[in-house]
Amino acid sequence: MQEITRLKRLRTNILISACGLLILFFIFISTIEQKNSLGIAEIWSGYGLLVLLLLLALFNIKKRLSILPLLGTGYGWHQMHIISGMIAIAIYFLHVESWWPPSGYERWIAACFYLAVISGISGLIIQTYYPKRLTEIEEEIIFERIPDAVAEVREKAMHEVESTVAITRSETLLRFYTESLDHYFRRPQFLFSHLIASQSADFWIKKHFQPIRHFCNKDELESLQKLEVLAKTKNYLDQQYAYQLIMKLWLFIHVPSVLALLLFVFWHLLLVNIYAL
Amino acid sequence: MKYQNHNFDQSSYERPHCQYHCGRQRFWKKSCRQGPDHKGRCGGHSECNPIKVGDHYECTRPEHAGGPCQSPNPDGSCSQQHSPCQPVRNLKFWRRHISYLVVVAVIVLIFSFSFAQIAFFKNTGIADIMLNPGPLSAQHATFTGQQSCQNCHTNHKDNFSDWFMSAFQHNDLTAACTECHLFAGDARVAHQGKLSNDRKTSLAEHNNIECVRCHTEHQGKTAELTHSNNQTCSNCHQNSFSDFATKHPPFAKHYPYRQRQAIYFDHLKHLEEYFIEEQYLTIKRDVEFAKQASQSCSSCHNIKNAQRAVKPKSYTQICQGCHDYQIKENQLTLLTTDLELAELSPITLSLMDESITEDPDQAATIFLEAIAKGEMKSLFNLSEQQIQQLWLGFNPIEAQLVAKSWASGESYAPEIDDKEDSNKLSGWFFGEDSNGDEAIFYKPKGHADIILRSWIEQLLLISRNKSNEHIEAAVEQLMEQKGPGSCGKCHAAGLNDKQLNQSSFQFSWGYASKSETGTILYSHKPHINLMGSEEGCDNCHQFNRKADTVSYYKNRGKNPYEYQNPFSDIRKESCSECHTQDQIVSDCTTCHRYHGPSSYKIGFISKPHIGGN
Repeated sequence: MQEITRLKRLRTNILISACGLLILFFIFISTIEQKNSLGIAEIWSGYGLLVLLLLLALFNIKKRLSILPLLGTGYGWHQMHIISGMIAIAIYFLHVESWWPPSGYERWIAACFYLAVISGISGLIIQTYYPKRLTEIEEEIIFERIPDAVAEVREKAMHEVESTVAITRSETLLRFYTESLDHYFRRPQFLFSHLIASQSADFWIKKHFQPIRHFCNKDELESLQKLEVLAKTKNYLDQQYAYQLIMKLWLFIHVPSVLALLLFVFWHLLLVNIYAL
Repeated sequence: MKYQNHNFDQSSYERPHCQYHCGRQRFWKKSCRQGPDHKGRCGGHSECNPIKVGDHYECTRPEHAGGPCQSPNPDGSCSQQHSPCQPVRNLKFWRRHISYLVVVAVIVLIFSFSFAQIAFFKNTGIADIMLNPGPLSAQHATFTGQQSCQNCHTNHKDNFSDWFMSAFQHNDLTAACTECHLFAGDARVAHQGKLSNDRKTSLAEHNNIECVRCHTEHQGKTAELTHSNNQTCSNCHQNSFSDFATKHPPFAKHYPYRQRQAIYFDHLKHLEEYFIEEQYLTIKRDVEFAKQASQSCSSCHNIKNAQRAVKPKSYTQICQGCHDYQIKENQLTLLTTDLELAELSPITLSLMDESITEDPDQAATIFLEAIAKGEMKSLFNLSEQQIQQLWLGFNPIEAQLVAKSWASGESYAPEIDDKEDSNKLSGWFFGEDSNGDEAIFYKPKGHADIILRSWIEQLLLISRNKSNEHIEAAVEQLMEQKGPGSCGKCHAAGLNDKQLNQSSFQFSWGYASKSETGTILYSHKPHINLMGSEEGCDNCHQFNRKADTVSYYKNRGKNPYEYQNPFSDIRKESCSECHTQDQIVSDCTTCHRYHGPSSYKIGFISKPHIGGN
């Protein structure tokens, strides 16, 4: 079954890539042809880019209309979005012929385009890399439930400390919790470290739990081991939180920049037709 | 550890599409089971919503939240009350609202600036950030201040609806360009009309080229509007140009000497005979100059001001020393007489009114009477100003004396009152001429004599429209080496231009520069600087000893197409010795320009600028 899906996806990728390259080639040839006959070379690349941008924007609508099976699979749309985005970059430079327009509203367009492209490519990397990292964690959790899970782990840790202190009448574990662990359990920590796949959080746990063992009695040691397990659980939750958060945050840049880009593009289209064509 | 339970009875149902979530999560506390409602009101102040079963209420708290409690309140409210939280918005809400905010911001930005520009700052550059795609080039930015955009975009001044509707109409920017720019032909036609042999565009394309195809504005102050490259030329020309030595077609036959010289000057004869052979170096010749001129082109050609042409120096600098006496020797005779019969010269008869010249014998008498009275206007069908020019310095009183003297069959011997008259070498004369005949004649004072020139020009003007035996004889006489002022000796070709261009006749008295209407852009100056002023000329300009230049001039330049230049054609190889890819730049625009000479219509109308592409 997986093999069939893989083959289907491969076929989809090849088909979309071929179509994309064909469109790019057609626009490129048409633009060169226009240039060679002193025509308006920007016409083909401009309108081609507009169509591609609309196609890219349709992806967001398709996601909302997943109930319509005739429009193709979500995977197909996603691949089309990626390939169209790549082609749009090429056509953009074919159209603009510079990295940065001299001034005016075209700079706004360029800024929005670059923002959309950079956020889009970042999103592609994020969406490719972090889901794999998520599956490497022993268990998955819904993003909205992470605060509850963090609270639950914290409660368990506090309960463990309280019960041990009640039995041993020793403040060692209590002081260790309040001075070192309380901050850690209070909310997700080491988010950036997790994003860059750093082992800082593991190291921090080891660094804090290792020395305290020398000052614990037998009951406290048992409790300390449970606390360490809870700390590691919290670490996994932090990883989940960091990965899922970044997978949501890149859209905060991509979606608004694309919307702004589309508006500026329509304005540009209007002005070009009024003043230049 | 298991992070979460997925069974329906062990975990609550998450609603990520709802825009609120429990406020306790904000502080990383455990959220309430019920969560906020869709309006953002806290649902966690009670643990369940009891339902009425029969006559009492039962708790509905699910198992995963602790299971049903024993005692809902009698009024049906939950007995497990908690202090409520302040629900918070989730990420999806913020993403959507940031997107809305950006959309609104962009729309406001576009419309506020555009509206402000159109409504308040129409003729200024203020607030044009949303309309202006970039600053103008320095050339255009300097004079568009007052009218701003509407200088070129006429629809900019329209009201909003017309302005908007102009998006669906063609915008003729070329018309706006030609409001100020003036070209030798139609600006839309490639090269203003010249059809190239290797053109690959259709005639329709050839005749409809918009300025903006090559000149892109709004690229900043430092943008070079006239910049073009080999690719630009290859758009229309079949010969895709990449290298001058191998890709440029051979120069045309007779290049660059297709245009005949207005002044007859035989380079070979001068350099190899007149300047060096002793028989020519008589007392009337400037021997010193001849010696210099035989050695160096720069003796006669003004290399300091060399451009496309290296013009010869003035007559006084290079010709006068040897040729001035010839001009003064040859007079313009109006009338001769043997004291019995007066005869008007062909040039006089040509210019006189035809009604008078029908009887030539009578015409001489009428002529004498008229000039004696100073009533020359009755003789010629010309304006008063033209007659004044023809007869400048003429003394009618002396003419009366002449007429009386001749009428009584006596020669006229003028009384010489003072020294000045006796030394008179030029001007109007009466009496015996250089041939020993009694005559009325004019002796030119030298080169470019204004009176002689007026007579010749009037004669040539008449000869263009009329033809009779007098006119033909007069023109024939004029073009002779010994004709009046010897003008025809050197100027014959230039003054016979009528076959070249009937519609726009001009006297070619002076040196005729190379026509600047073509696409060739060449300057001698840098070449002379590089190769030297003395020997450098020989690199390109070699004599063609087979050329029969003399015949053309001996035929008085009547047929310009017979002209053969005494210099050999310049071949491409002469240029490609230096203009190669590795040495000196050899792009199309190094030697060619797209437009012919262009000028401006507004403000600075008179001055053509040569550097247009």
